[in-house]
Amino acid sequence: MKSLLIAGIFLSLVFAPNVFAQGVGVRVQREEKREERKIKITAAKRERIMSFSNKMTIRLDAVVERLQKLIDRIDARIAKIDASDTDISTKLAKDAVTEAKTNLASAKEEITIFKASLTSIPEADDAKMAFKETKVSLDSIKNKLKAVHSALVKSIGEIKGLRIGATNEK
Amino acid sequence: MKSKLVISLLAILVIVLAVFGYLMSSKELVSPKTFEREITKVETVSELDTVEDIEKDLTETDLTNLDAELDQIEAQIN
Repeated sequence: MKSLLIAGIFLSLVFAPNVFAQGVGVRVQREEKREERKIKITAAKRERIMSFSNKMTIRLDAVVERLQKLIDRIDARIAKIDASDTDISTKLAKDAVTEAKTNLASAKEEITIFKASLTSIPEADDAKMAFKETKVSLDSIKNKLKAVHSALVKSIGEIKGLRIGATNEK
Repeated sequence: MKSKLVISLLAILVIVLAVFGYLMSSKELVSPKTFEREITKVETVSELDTVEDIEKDLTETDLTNLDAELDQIEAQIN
């Protein structure tokens, strides 16, 4: 009986560290798997953020292009009016277009910075803070693009106010 | 036997509804074609420089949804 007890103690001393080590190993593996899963979720979210960001930048570029085309067309209309009648003053219309051009140039610069900050959000140490800053930047861009639009509306209003006959429209 | 089948079918239905709900809430089911159509609409303007044509394109210029995806980005961060 005594020898059995001693053998039991001996065996437990031999195998206990291994069992303990195995337990630790399993726990470490579980932790690693959990971490891996976390990284995977982050990667999936990152992918979604990039997809949404791409959509926003594509839309912004399209709007900028549209406003640029409108500026070019108004410029062309003013040039035709100037060429047809030198007595008509297109100054106010031109001033409004200049205002639109200035705001559009500024918006374009801000969009370049915005794109960079948007792509850096998932990598940022403080993603929430980075997002807040990006949001402020986007608000500024939106206001600039709205100012471009308003200036163009003003310009076309000035052109309409010149009361040029339909024949001069061609 | 029958009740097991019913339970299995209900479980599948619940899973399908949960996946569908998740996709709808994250707006992943929005077709890329819908977005492409939206962009094509923004990019499409007349080449004419008559006051009427310019005014029409100006009126149709929509600047209200420039940040449509911002909420979705925020949802991913939080």
